[in-house]
Amino acid sequence: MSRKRSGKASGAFYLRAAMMLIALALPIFSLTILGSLWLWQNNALLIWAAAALAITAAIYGLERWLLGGAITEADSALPPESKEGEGQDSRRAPDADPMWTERELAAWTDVNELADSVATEQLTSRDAILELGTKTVETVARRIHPGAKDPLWRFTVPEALALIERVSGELRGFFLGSIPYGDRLTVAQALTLYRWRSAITIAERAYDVYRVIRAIVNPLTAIGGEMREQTQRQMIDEVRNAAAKRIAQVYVREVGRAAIDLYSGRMRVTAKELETTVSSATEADRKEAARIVAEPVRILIAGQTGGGKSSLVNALCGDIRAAIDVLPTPGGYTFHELKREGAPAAMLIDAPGAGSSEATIADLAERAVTCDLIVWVVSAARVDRETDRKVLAALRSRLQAISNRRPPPVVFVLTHIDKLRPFMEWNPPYDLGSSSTPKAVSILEAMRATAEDLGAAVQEIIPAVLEPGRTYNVDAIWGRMLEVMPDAERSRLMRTLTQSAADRPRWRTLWSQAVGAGRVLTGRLAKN
Amino acid sequence: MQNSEDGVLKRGSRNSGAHLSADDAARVEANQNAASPGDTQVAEQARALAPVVWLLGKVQSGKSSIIRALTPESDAPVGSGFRPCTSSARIYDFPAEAPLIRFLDTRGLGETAYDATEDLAFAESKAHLLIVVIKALDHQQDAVLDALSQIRGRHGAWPIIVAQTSLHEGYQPGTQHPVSYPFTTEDPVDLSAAGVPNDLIRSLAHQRRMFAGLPGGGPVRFVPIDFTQPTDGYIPVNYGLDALHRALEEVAPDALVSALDHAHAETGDPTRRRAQPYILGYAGAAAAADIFPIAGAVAVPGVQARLLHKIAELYAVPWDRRAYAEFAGALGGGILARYAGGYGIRQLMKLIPVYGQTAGAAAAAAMSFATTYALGRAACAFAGRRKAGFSGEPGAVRRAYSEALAEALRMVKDRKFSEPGGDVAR
Repeated sequence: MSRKRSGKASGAFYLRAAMMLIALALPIFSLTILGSLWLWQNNALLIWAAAALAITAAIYGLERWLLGGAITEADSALPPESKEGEGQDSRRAPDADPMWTERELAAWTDVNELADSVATEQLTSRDAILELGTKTVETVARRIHPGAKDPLWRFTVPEALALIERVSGELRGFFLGSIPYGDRLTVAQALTLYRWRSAITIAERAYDVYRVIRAIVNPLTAIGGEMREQTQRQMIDEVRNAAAKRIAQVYVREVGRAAIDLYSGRMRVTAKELETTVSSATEADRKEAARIVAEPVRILIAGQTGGGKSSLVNALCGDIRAAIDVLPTPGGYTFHELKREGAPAAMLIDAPGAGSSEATIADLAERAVTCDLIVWVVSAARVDRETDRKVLAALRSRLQAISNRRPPPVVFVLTHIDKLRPFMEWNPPYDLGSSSTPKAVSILEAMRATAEDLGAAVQEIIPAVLEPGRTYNVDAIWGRMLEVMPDAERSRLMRTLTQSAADRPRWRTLWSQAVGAGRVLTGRLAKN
Repeated sequence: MQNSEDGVLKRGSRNSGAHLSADDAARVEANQNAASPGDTQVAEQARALAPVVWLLGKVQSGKSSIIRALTPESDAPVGSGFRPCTSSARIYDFPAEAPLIRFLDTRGLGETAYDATEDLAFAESKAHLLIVVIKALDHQQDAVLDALSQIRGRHGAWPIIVAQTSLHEGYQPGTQHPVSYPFTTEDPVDLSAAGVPNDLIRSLAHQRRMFAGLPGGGPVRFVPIDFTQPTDGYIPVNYGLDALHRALEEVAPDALVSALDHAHAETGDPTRRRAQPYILGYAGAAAAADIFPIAGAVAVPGVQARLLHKIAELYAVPWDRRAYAEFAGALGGGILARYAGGYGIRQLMKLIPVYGQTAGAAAAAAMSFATTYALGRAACAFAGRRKAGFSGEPGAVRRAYSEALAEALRMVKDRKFSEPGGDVAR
């Protein structure tokens, strides 16, 4: 009962809606007819036609310009691997793999020629595309195995599987890279290339009929419309052809590149490898991504026993982490991570007391190579710096041997400056620049002697006290560390520090503040 | 100070009854301003008898401070008084002209791969005591321990004193030494109660443990000390000096203890105290002339002439013929005559086979030592009296001589004038 009533009601509703729509649309549509009539009566029809033409031409130009930009952008956005062999100027010699031999390079030239000569009109079916692929592979096979009876089958099954995987991966990268640049292009790049083409054709045919009818109804409008349609069609054709050609070229080149690797034996991987193989690019990207997140700035803290290495770790961490003791702490290297929001930001590596034995020196040097920064801790209360000098010399020569990156910089910290003469006094801060209190003079002298013994400049020595609860100049140590650190590491460390405990001062300005306050020598003073 | 030309013994002194002959005086006069071969020889003779203290420790561990504290009234800066003796060691003679004590400082320590062999060979026949000097808070002592292992491997019975220096580095800034020296005990509870910081107590204990594994069974005494500069503000300046002296008395050979003890003259004016080590040093040189078959040795009269000159120099009084005559007069001609006779007899005694070589030589050496010492002390009394314008009682010089002679004969028992060699240290 209720269903019947509701059916009746909905029928009436649609009817009323249609009537209302007509009622609303009719006055507006009538304006088109009346406007045309008015134009015709006032002899303004020609003026209107000319204006419409001009606008159409302008829009054509704009579209052309935009479209060209889109194609270029799509190119530059491609992954570097698939970009080779691509570009607006397809005749440009594409980059070859530096690993390739002469014969393989010749095959690559063949592939490029093939890619350039692809006729997109022929690529109307799936079979045609497969045939193109086969042709590419054959070209390569003949070139690489010219004398062989059956060049096409000169590979193993795992190699073939690896090949398929790779071609798929690379092509996928290409398609993904092109997606953001216009619906028209992505449709063209869809796997149903040939179907896309027929759909266009049907639409065109329907449109032709419409054009004829329009010409009968309104000859003058038809002229303008016809001219507009012609330019639009040309534009669509160009887009379609460019896209199709580009896809075909990428396809040929990727197949050719893979085929070269296939026939040269580079795809020969074990079954085990096959399970885990990802493209080298993906792997590199993954590693890079992981490194950025997981790799902290590595800071090696070294020096003789009793110099204050563990105290420095504590002072830098801002809390008690390293087991500090007046007695030498047993054991080898200890690691302390400065973490912020779960991500490690700095790894403080507390080295054992630098000894004079060859083995421990070599061990320390190797450890130093893996670090981004080295902090050398010297006690102002001790002057036996022969060991420091020897170990530092070994360390420096090892660091100089690093060839693939800048060697890690070394920061010198002079601890226990409170134990310098006059012994009884400790009233920081001390201005090493201008004042000449006996304590400041002692500190300065100790810095000079240390600098001389360790082969460093005076202003590179940061005087400090690291006793728990009585630290002095730790902010200058941070400042100096940030100053000498390579940019990348600095920004990483800075990130942590700025996110860390609120009671810490602003690190960015620390060094300049320390220099300004005279707690560290400025270059000018050091020369005097 | 008077011009030194006036301060020499003039040729042709009428009091030739004494063994200070005109020839000796002339030689002194001729070489007044430069170290003559004779002077060098005297120093060499004194060295032969002077005990050697071997100081083993890293740079700036406080070795020079210990030398300064053990050698009173030394006006020479310790640092510049050192002479190189081996490739890695240097030696400080106190006093330089006629050493009473010698300090051997191993310089290479703290540098890598120190080989004690050479220093050991040098010190073996000479070192009478080993003082190891380490900073109380410095636990990087591998080099010191390595050297000690080498030394004790060869001489297991050698006693060792470990001076643990720079105690103030373990104090909070501005804190004084604990008032009564508490380090006679090793009990941490007692030390803590006396106000010693906990870290320092543990540091000292840790250092004691470091030395536990040394070879040999000789005693190892640990003495925490802190010898600072007066301007440093710590009271007393030589904190723990008494403890060091006690340790020396306990383990050091008698010769060294005696030399150190008597180097401190308890009485008299500052010049007298300064002169004391010289008197002892020259007395040693005189004794050595009798013991050792040293070619070209300066005989006792020559040594004594140099001593008198040195004393005149220290007192800044002219020492000419008249002065000498007056000194002889004050001393009393009888003493000098007896002494001269005694000298002749001693020379004869030494000629007696066997007896003369050993006991006689030793007795002669003891006599030479005692008379030279007494003469020096008498000269001090004379020069002091003369400087003050001949005031005071006239018999003072003679009394000084006889008192000093008695004192010197007591010393002689400790010094045991015999040729050193082998394990000199007990």
